[in-house]
Amino acid sequence: MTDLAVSFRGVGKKYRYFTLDKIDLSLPQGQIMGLIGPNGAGKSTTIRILMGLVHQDSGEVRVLGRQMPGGQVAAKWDIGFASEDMRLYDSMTLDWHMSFMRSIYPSWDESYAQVLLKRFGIKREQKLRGFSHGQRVKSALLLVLARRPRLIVLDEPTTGLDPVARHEILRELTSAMADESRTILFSSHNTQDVEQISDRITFIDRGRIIDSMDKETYLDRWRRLRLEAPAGIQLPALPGIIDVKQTGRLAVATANAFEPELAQAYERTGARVQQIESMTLEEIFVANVEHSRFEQSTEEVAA
Amino acid sequence: MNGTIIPQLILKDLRLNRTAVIVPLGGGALGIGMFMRGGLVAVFGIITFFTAMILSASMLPTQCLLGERKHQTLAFLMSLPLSSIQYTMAKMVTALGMFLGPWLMLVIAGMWIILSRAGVPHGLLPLFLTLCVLVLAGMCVVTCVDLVSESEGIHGIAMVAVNVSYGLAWTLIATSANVRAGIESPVPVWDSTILSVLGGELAFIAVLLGLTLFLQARKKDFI
Amino acid sequence: MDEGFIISQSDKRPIYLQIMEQIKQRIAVGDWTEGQLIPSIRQLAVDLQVSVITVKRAYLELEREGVIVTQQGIGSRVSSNPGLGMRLQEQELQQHLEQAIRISALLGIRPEQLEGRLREALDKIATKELV
Repeated sequence: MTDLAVSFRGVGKKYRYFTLDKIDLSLPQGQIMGLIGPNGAGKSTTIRILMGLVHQDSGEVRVLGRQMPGGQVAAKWDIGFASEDMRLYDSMTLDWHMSFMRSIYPSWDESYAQVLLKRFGIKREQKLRGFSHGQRVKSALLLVLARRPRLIVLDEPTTGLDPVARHEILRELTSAMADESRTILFSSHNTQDVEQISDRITFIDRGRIIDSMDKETYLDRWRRLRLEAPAGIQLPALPGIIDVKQTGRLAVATANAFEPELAQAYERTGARVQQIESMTLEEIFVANVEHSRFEQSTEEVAA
Repeated sequence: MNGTIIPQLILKDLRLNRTAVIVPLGGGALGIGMFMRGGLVAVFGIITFFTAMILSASMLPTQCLLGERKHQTLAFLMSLPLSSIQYTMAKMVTALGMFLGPWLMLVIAGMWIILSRAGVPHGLLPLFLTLCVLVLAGMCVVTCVDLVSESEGIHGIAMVAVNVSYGLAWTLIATSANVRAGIESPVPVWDSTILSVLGGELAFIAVLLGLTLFLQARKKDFI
Repeated sequence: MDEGFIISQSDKRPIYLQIMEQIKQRIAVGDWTEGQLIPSIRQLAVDLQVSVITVKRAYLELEREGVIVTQQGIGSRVSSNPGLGMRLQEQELQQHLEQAIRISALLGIRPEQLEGRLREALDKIATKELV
């Protein structure tokens, strides 16, 4: 069993209008975890607790073997962090920032930094003030990557970027994983990016973790079944199905725990299975959030 | 390994906040120059001198402390390997250091003028020092309030409170009979009023800094 | 080391299947020969900019089918009889086709209709995945 780079156990944090509730999260070393969820779900709060910037009210957080927030100073030597709402110093040049980091971190790799400058197409003599959004994001990422940290934590690394910049960033992130001791945790709205490069996916909504597992297993569990019902019958939601939408005789059943037997189970009810489709992470995202919120509201009504 | 971060942070702030050092030096020098001319201009010189000092006491915390949150660079700094205590101490040292440098120069220049110029009673010295330390105390108040609150609104309130207390302190000192007598004297007179005010100011500063460190250590949401 | 793999985003099939197919193609046309060392899982993941777990799955499936062989500490190579795995699948395909013909005969479906049904199914696969 590999060491865990990140471990959350029962982590909770209460704000006035928002609560992070019993967060459990495990990220083994050498893997990439994509954290997805709607706005306000708690992604940024989770990441800040991970960095020790916010102290949790309850639960245990370990990052690279160190307790957070107490061990944050030691941990941060090996963590590279960049978030979408973070800014560098506008009146200073990229070169100044690079020197700043180089003077602090002994692990700074200047030759790799040069390679990144070229690949990202950014000029070190230029002041940050003159950079476009994409160039700023790439600058922040360069400052992280050139240190070769063991853990990279990114909050929305590709948000607001054009396709070329996104592609450049994804390429550098996956390249960084050539080192199998490196771990990446990133949050993103871009389900396509998450689907492509993540080893594990964690789904968070309204302060709760809805799902957290390896990506391939996760994608395999979700299927959309297109069914033709016998006349006059409303098809039920069998176990493993979270939603059935039927108009007339045509129905679409969404499964979040798909097994081939499920198709047979429907055929036994008299329905004809026209098609079984896999779902993109984006489609899963929407279906999952809708389902989870529906479940939450029925819980609240019952309580 | 940890030894490089705080010096680097201080250097960074010195680099970024150069104007906040130049202003008091320039304004103070101007004030001194005006004072040397004597007469009515000298009075304006005194006002200019202290205004420059007070202005710097406000500019520095705003730029150096509030600036990080305003310009969203705080997350970048706190992703570095340092704790909130280390950050606070680095900022305190920087802000106070950048204030004290010019301040000391102005105080020494002022003292030299009082002690060496003909026609200026040396009795002014204790009062002058008390006022300078008063501005220093005000600067500490604003610095500590900014560090703990990180709010522009509360900074504004603190500025108002500090300015009001400057006025109150001045009234207290100016109406004290002992002090008025002492001013005229050719020899500096360190009477009980002046000494207790000075001592109070210094003690106040020490308590304030300690309280700030304590409160910063207890902060649960640093960002 | 760029092996020239391209993952298509508009291809609705899972990435691991695309990887498997492209590896089999290279073996089929002879670009990759029997016993040849192939990129490590991690290396291919970096080249393709996909997750390691996806490449791992592709390699595991290929190993199951006998197309490649993975040795701990050494890496992966084309197996000594990669065609065997693919020939087995060929046989499976043939069996499926013969079965479809038998069943449609039982149902009274004429050959032209069967052809039409096959065309329909092919069209469906082109737009969506049939699992």
